[in-house]
Parts: sequence; C-alpha cells; structure tokens
Amino acid sequence: MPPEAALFPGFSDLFLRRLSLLRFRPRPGIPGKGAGEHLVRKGGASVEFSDFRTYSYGDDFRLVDWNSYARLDRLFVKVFRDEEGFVLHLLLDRSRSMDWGQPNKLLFARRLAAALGYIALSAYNWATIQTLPDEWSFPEHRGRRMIPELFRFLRDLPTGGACELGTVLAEYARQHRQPGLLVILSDALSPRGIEGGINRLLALGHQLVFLHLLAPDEITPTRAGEFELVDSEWGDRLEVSLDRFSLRTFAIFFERWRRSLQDYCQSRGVLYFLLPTTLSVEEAVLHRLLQRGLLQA
Amino acid sequence: MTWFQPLFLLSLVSILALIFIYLRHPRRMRKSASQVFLYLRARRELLTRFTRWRFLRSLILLFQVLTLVFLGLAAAGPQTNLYPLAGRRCALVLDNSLSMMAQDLTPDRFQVAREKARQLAEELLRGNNQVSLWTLNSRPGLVLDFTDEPAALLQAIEGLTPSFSSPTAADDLLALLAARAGGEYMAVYVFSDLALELTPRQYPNLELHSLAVGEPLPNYALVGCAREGESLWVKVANFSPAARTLHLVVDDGLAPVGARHAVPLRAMETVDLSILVVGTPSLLRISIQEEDLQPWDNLLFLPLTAPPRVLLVGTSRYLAGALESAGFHVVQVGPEDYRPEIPADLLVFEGILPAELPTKPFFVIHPPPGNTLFPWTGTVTRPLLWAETAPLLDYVDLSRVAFWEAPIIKFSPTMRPLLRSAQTMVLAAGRQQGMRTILLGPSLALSNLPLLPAFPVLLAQAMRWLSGDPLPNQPLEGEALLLSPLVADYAGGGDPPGLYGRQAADGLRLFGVAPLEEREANLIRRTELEGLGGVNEQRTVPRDLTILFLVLALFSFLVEELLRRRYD
Repeated sequence: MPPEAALFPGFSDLFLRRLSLLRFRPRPGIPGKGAGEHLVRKGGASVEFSDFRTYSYGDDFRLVDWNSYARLDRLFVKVFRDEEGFVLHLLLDRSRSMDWGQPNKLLFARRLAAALGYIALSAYNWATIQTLPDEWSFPEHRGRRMIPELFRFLRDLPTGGACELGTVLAEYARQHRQPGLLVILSDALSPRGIEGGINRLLALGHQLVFLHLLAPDEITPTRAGEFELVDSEWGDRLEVSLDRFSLRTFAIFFERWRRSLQDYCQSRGVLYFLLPTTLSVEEAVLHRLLQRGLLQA
Repeated sequence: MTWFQPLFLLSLVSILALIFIYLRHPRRMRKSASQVFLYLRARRELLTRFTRWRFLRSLILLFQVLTLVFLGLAAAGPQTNLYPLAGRRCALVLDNSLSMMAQDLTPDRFQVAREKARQLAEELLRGNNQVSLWTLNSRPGLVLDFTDEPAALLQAIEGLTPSFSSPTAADDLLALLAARAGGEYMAVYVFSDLALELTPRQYPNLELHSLAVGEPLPNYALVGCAREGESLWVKVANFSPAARTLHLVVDDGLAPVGARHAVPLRAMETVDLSILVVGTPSLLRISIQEEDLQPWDNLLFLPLTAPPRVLLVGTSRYLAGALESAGFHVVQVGPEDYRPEIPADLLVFEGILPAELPTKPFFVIHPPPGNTLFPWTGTVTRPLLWAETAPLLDYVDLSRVAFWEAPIIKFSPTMRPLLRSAQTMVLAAGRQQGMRTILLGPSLALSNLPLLPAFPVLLAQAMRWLSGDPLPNQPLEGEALLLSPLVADYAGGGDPPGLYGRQAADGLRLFGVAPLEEREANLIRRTELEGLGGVNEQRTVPRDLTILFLVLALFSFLVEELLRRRYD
C-alpha cells in the first residue's frame, strides 16, 4: 500500500495506483531537466528507436545496424531517443472566488493539483506549485519521496485574497523563463481577463494547459429572486432581480464568455479543459485529461 | 357618529393591508457570488437587447409610482365639485338660522343663499330632477315635497324667511332626509354658514353637498357696548350651536372695575346687559374672561371712552343741540353763572372769555372785544374765506359758509389758522397755557354756519380733538378694515381672523372672520367668495375620494407585488 494515500483526504489506494501508471505527454520541444522517463528527440540511451544515421568514426560498434550493412554494404548506426525529466508547473488559483460553490472549487483544484503532482513526481519528473496570489509556493522537487511533502502542502493550503489573474500570470512568466509544462487551475473570473498573462507565458515557450474549474451554479444559476450580489473576491455589490428569463439569459451569456475563453486558448495552442466541480477528480484525470492526450497510460 | 361604518372600515382595512404587505415585502437578500462583473455585463445586455425584460421592469416601477401617487392623493384629502345629474331626487336645504342674518354679504347671507338656491333649483329642474325644499334651524322641516314644477319650487324658496333660531338640528335634518329618501339615492344641497362638517356616514344613500355661505362667524362676540349714564350697556352674542356661560370683565385699562359678570348664553342667543360702573373713569374696556375663550372665539375688545362732559357757557340753544347730537354730555350755563369749579371735561365759551383761563381744553366762539387773550384790532365785513388742509376740517363742507362780519384778531404763534381771509384768521386751533384751544372769531348769529350740515361735523370733530382723541380715520365706502386682529402674526391663507368693519353708505358694518383651517384657507378667500356672490360650492364629503385613492393604492401595490412574485 502506498503511504501517500493517507496523506491526502479523498484519495484512495486504487486511485493512486492508477495515477502511478499515467505519464504526462508534454509537447515535443519542452526542454528536459536531468534524467527521467520523458523521451526527448535528441539521441540518447533509451530503448526507444529514433532514427538511423551514417556511421562516423568513433561510434559505438554495438549500435551499427548489421542488417542494413548486409543489404546496402554501408554502415549505419541506430539512434535512440533520450529520456529526461521535465518540470511541471502547477499554477493554482486560490483567490477568494475559488473558495466558492458547491462543490467547492478550491477543494477540487487542490485535489486535482495533488493528482497531477503525484503523476509528475511518481514519473521522476520535477514538479512545482505556485499559488495565485503567490505568497505560497511549493518549490521544484522531483522523485516519489517528495509526494508526501506535496500532499501536505496542498492539504494545508489556505484561501488567498484577491488577485488579478492576468497580472499574476505575467509576473510568473517574468520570473520563470525556462519553458516547461504549465498547468493553470483557475476559474478565470478576473474582471480584466487572463489573456494578457497567457500571452506572456506563451511567448516564453511554455506549454500551457488551462483547467477551467467552475461550480455548477456558476454555469447555470438556478436560484431566482431579488438579490444583492456580493463579489466574494473584490467585495463589489450588485442588485439584481433574477427571474427564469434573466437566469436563462445569464446562463447563455456565461456560456458565451466561457466559449470565447476556450476559443482564445485553442487558437493559441493552449490545451483547454472545462472541469465542473461536479466531476470527481478520478473522472477528471482518468477520463477527461487522459482522453484529450495530456496524459498517457 | 359611529366608527363601524362600511367606508371607514374599508379604509382601515386598506391601510392595514398596505402596511402588512409593505412589512412582508421581500427585501433583497444578500448573496455571495464568485463574481458580479459578468452579471453586470449580462444585465446591460438584457436592458439593451430585450424589450420584454425592460417592459417588465418599467411596469413594476410604474405601479410603485402609482402607489405613491395614490397614497399622496389620499393624504391630501381631496374634495370634488359634483354637478347635478339628470333624473335624480334632490333636496335643497336652506339654513335660515340667526347667523344667516350676518351682513358681511350684501344684503345678508340668507338672501344670498336664497338667490343661489333659486339658481340651483332652476338648474336641477332643467335636468329633469325631482327637487324638495327643506329648512335648517332649531326645528328643521320639509317646506315642499319632491316636485318638478319650477313655479311651485321657486315660490316656496321665495317664501322662506329667517327663523332667528339656531341650526342645532342638523342631525335631525339628516335623519328626516334619510327617512324621506326611503333608502333611495338622494343628493342633498345644504346652503349654510355652518362650520360643522356634515358627514352622513350612517346614511350612505345621501350624497351631501355643503354650499358655504359667507364664513363661519366667531362663536362669541361682543356685538356692541355703550355708556348709559352710570351704567354700561353691552350686547353679547353666542353664534355657537352650544350653550355656554361667558364671564365679562370690565376694566379701566389698569384695574378691574367691579366684579365679573356671568352671562349664560343659549345656542345662537344674543343678550343685552346693563352693567353698573362705579366712578367715572374716562376709559372703560370690556372683555370676555380668558378662561372662557376657545380657539374659535372672537377675541374682540372694544375700548370705550366715556362721553366727555361739556360745559357750554352761552345762551345758544342750537349749539347745545349740536353738541348733544354729537354724543356729548352737555351742561349749559349762562355767562353770568359760569364758575371755574363747575366740573367739566371740555368748555365752550360763546361770546365770553373769562379773565382766568380754564384748566381744561376749551372752544371759544366769538371772544368779546376787550379780552386780553385774543385782542381785536378791528372788523372786516363779509370776508372771503379759504380753508387750510387740516384733519379737523375733513368732511366739513365750507363752500357755502358765509360770515357777515369777522373781527380782526391778533393770534398768538401757538395757534394755527384753519380758516382765514385776507385780513384775518377766522378759525384757528392750537394751545393756550398748555391746553388745547380752538377759536372761532365771528359770531354764529351773523353767519349761516349753524344752518349747514358742516356745523355739527365741525363741532364734533373739534370737540373730539379737544378731548384728546386722534381724528377719525374713516375707511372709504366699501372698504373693509381689520379693526381688531385675532392673532398678532397670521401666516395662513385668506384674511387674517379678527373683527372687520366695512364702510357702507349708511354706516360702518361689523363682521368677524374666524380663523380657518389651512386647507379651508387655501380654498376660500373672502375676496374670491365675494367674487362668487358669497357662495362657494364645495362638497363636505371628501373621504369617499380618500378611500377611493387608498383602495387604488392598495390595488396598485398588490399588482406590483404580484409582478414581483413572478420572479420567485
């Protein structure tokens, strides 16, 4: 039994075992960092055949393809891909707007981040967690031995204050210029938008994955009446009268807003996942992320 | 009056329902949201793109405004002028009680009311109505039953006379009217000066219109008073429909004179009193005891000057007669009988001037030639006269006055000439040894002055000036003057309450203006009332509209509430 299951509430042994079988599929071109299990293009010593090249002086004879030599009477050397580790950046939005909804978005995000971090660390990759706003962070670590530390970090993570997501992402891009696989877990509910921050990250060559976490009552609000809405993050107030018609209209409007964000992500090569908090973490990871190719078994 | 009347209960229910719904009205519930900026954008889009949603919001707002408007209208206590409709049964009620004899309207309230009743009767009969005629006094009664004959009705109206009683039987009248209506709808038009509000709630089939004639008289009034030798004659009226006892206080400006006099007055009663006054004070004032006064009472104070005692030293009978007709108490003695000890307030010397000047104001007519005070230097025959402008000569027509001969008198500088010729001064007024003095140089026996109307007027004004009174400031004919204001500072509409005098051709007519409620004051001004011929039609059943507006407010509130509930 893996010892990590007891460290994070809600994770079962079976789930962790399944997660340990998964690997990230970062985009080719993401620079590696140290040895690992991630195949890179350049030649290496793994068993994964990559290409042939003409033999040159000094090459290892053990790599000569003798079958080709027999047919063509020329010496070719087999080239294999190298296996390296990579850095998984988990950007976890813990602003007050995330601490909202039923089920709670921040709780869902913490579980999701734990699962993704577990996958990265168990595959001998690097993982780091940066919370937004950024008072709390989990520095780059690799190896399974850091999994309990990761779980404890996420388990004890408090709710943060208000943050302008676009600005915070841009600031993160300024501080982390080494490209990597960068997973953003957020509701993207920022009045000024997050597009500016994403652009800055893309400009540095990061591979971006945007996990859009939304509570069901945000996607389709159902409660009608006379309300004074109070923004949980910024404290803004708004008096609204919601009837069925206006609720339906708002749902359409919200979907349009979400769709525009999705289109924006897809147009810039950002993997976009809509993950309502009604999903279980198992379903989100083992189905949604696996099916869309972010992970592989 | 009973509170358990359908309309009152309906209004009460409306108000309670309004309060209940208002208290139960759902307040905006505070709700935490992950964001509001998207709601804000969505709402903007809704308002700009969806007319139905905008219309719903406008509808709610409209009913909110309507509720407030109806509540405001109900609070304003609206009144309506309802015009007679055709084919109804109507009753004309004429108040012929004592207060309708007040002459603040010309010729008096009753005749003005009768004329207006006649006009209304003609109008009602033209509308094919059935009209009956009633009177309101202490014993109201039916004068003419329902008829559609104009001649009979107009004759009955013309035949009405004042009853000199009080209109205390308004309730009985309503009962009679209701009985005569027999449960059917009937419009009642009351011509009265009653300040009472007639609200026949117990007779819902009666539609009552009160047609105000004049203004309410003050409840109590000191109508008049006069000095009669050693006693004081006082006339006190009670224009109130209730009996009360008044206490009259007589004082001389400093201290009370005698005891208080209790005057029991029945409703609408006028009483003449004779009060014995001890001593001979020159000023008497009579007033109603302060404890007896009510806010609606007339606070009239009539300052009374005791008529001056005039000592006439001379033999002219016409001079004595003119002084007596001017209201003076005259004692006439011959020149040889004159003694300075004879008590008098004023002295008139005709053809004589004593060596020792009196210590009272005096009027000298034709001083003898050898006197030292006004020495002669000669005579002038048939002098040509012209008069100076002086208050003493106001209302004195000197155009036809002629003197056969006038002495040329050397006047002292303290005398001011009033009537003069080229050679001498004929009439002068001033002071001699500190006393007011008037001198008329020529002899009355050689003049036509005693035969002219100017003579008593000149004599009365001269004696009044000598006695110390300011000269009269008479109002112009038709002009009304506020003689005794009821309150010092009056900020309401209409005329300030108090006692008014209106100069008529045959004398000064007094009438009172009682304090009006602010709403009434805004509706009725005396000047406007006169413009309408003294009758201001207004309905004194205003609460039906109040209730109507309350019910409308409730209805509007309910609709708004229902529209809101659609959102839940």
